[in-house]
Amino acid sequence: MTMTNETETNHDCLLRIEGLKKYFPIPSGLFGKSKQFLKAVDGVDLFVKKGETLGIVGESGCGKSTTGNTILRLLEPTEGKIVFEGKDITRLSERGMQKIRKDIQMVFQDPFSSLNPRMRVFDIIAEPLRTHKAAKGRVLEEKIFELMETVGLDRSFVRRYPHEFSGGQRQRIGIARALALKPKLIICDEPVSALDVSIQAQILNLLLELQKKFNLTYIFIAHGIPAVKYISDRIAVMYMGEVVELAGKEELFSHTMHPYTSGLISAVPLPDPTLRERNNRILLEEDFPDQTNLPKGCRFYSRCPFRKDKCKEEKPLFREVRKEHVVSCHYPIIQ
Amino acid sequence: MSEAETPLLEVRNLQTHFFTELGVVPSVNGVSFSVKKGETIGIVGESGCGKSVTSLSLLQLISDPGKIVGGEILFNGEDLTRLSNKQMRKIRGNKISMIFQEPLTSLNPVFTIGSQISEAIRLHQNVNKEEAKEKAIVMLKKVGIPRAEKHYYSFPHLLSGGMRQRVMIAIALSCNPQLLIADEPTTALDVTIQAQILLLMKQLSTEYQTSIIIITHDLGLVAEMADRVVVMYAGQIVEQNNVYELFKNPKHPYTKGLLNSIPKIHQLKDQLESIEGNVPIPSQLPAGCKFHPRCAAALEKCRFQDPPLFQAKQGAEVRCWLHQEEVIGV
Ligand SMILES: Nc1ncnc2c1ncn2[C@@H]1O[C@H](COP(=O)(O)OP(=O)(O)OP(=O)(O)O)[C@@H](O)[C@H]1O
Ligand SMILES: Nc1ncnc2c1ncn2[C@@H]1O[C@H](COP(=O)(O)OP(=O)(O)OP(=O)(O)O)[C@@H](O)[C@H]1O
Ligand SMILES: [Mg+2]
Ligand SMILES: [Mg+2]
Repeated sequence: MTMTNETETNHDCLLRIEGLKKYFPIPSGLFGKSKQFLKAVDGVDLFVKKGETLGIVGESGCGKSTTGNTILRLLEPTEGKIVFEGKDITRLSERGMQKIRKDIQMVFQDPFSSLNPRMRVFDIIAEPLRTHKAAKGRVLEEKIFELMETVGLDRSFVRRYPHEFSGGQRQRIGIARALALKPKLIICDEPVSALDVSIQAQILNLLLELQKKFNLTYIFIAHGIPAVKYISDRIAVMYMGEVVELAGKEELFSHTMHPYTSGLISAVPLPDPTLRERNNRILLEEDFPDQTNLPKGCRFYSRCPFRKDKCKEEKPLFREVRKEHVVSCHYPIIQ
Repeated sequence: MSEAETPLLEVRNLQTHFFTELGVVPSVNGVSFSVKKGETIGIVGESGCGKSVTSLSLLQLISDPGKIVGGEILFNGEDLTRLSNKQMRKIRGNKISMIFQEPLTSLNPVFTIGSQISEAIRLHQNVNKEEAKEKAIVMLKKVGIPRAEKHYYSFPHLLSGGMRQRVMIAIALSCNPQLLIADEPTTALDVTIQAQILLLMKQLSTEYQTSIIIITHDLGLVAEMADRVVVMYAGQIVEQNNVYELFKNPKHPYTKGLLNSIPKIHQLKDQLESIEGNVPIPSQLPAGCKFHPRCAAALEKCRFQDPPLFQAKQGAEVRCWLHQEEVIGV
């Protein structure tokens, strides 16, 4: 793939994944000994440059979280390569991964279940620092106060338990913990989806602020286009385990090429009633293929408003159609 | 609102409280709005502001420890708060129907979708089994279920989330209700499926002249669907107006804040302003204006005195002392 070759020599590239696959075996019932797989992630190529935010967007079940979890090796990849800071970490031992995990942290969707309810804020934020023996005693305490301040939590909260906090505050705790070890990359998996509307903007702005301050790199995973568009520099659109379109944010919105991306964007309700009669909307049909028995052609075929015979027969390649704008579609929309 | 026509639904000063061990929770605290025939009202607000309790109150579905402690709910001029359970059962699912967020929990998993629609039809209409089935299939087709005759015999778990919500809409509309209450009808669905369901609701409401109350936390959805918008905060209405004015000239600092805190995908560049602080817990509401601790424009007065709903310019009703000078009449 030209795209990855380009970055092979690029020192700015922090993370690169190539042909990443994660298949889950489907427990076979009484019939059929042949093992079936659910192809949750099926050949994903991506790279993330230092200091940027790569957004991954797509609807429920398209493989966003699996991609994130596989990068961190919380799930073992079925196939493919994960390269972090030029080092292939795909088959790194658990001990080797321990070190990498200092540099790659995760922030999860549900601040309610991702924080141990029996731990106080202090211990939650201290946990990674203790695990990696990064600080103790007074230094640890100072560090925790500093982290709390960084994410906008009052230090008087330090002895409280997660249930005493609102959703937004809990997400701040999760972010403080992720920051504790000064990571290089933070994978945010739906960090604002469970939050109230007025709180989402607080967290998005906090993430942007922290990125500037600490030169952080983010992978920002979400099913909602608006938040992804706000925070990302480049955006990858996933559909059924594959990236179907990838481009810089402005390019993606001004020259949307994949019919799925187009459908996804036009499905978003706009907070402006004067636009409600807009007639350039693309409505997608609700006809999904069986994810355990995917069609040989384009996976989007059954829902595509522009499908042609070729799409049924032949799987489209992921190709660069405009500069730094890759799409897997036989007939990309050209504006 | 100048027409002499009386509204289909008129809610006046509704108060629904929960009497918990920890004290009284004033979940809905003096809510008034009305819905005309064929009109779609959007009730928007954040988690816990009282949207669902409002809609359950309309249907008299509040159970212990909750109680409607005040107000009137006039439906075709009749106060629903005064009806017996038996009288209410005749109205629910018939003249007023409801669809909820999670269609799987509201469909019974052990019965086919067909039998569930037929049953709903037979409960309120004087038809025999065959006629009910025929009508059910017509409804399934109407809401866009493919191969309706076959799916009549399907069990709910075989359908996708979007299809189940279509079935719920078919059930809700099968008795030609005058009012449909949809509480977060698409929140559990993917956005491309949501777009379809919303379109379907729009088409059906035009076709049948059904009035709709759509409840959501999504301002975009309200902008797409509603004729009038009611913004709730901490159990009260803080602003209401017709949809165009509300989005063009939001008046309450909370409404403005909400609009500024959602990313706009139709603008290339945008900057989000967030509302500081947190959504208050209804059992620990601040004195004065419920929004004042988060309000950048708060005055001294706001800390002590709860503002009434003012009639402001451009048809807005606003619960905010800053809009006091805009009072037109009383
Ligand atoms: N541990 C697992 N075992 C089996 N299947 C799994 C497992 N984890 C995920 N899957 C399946 O893999 C597919 C991709 O799941 P994933 O969680 O990555 O989706 P997602 O894009 O994050 O969706 P969402 O927006 O709902 O979070 C789904 O069909 C899911 O059911
Ligand atoms: N059975 C109950 N007992 C005590 N309090 C209740 C009960 N039901 C609701 N409440 C409280 O009433 C308030 C309003 O709840 P409601 O369900 O109407 O919120 P909502 O606006 O629908 O929020 P969401 O967007 O989360 O659905 C909440 O603070 C809730 O805790
Ligand atoms: Mg996920
Ligand atoms: Mg609710």
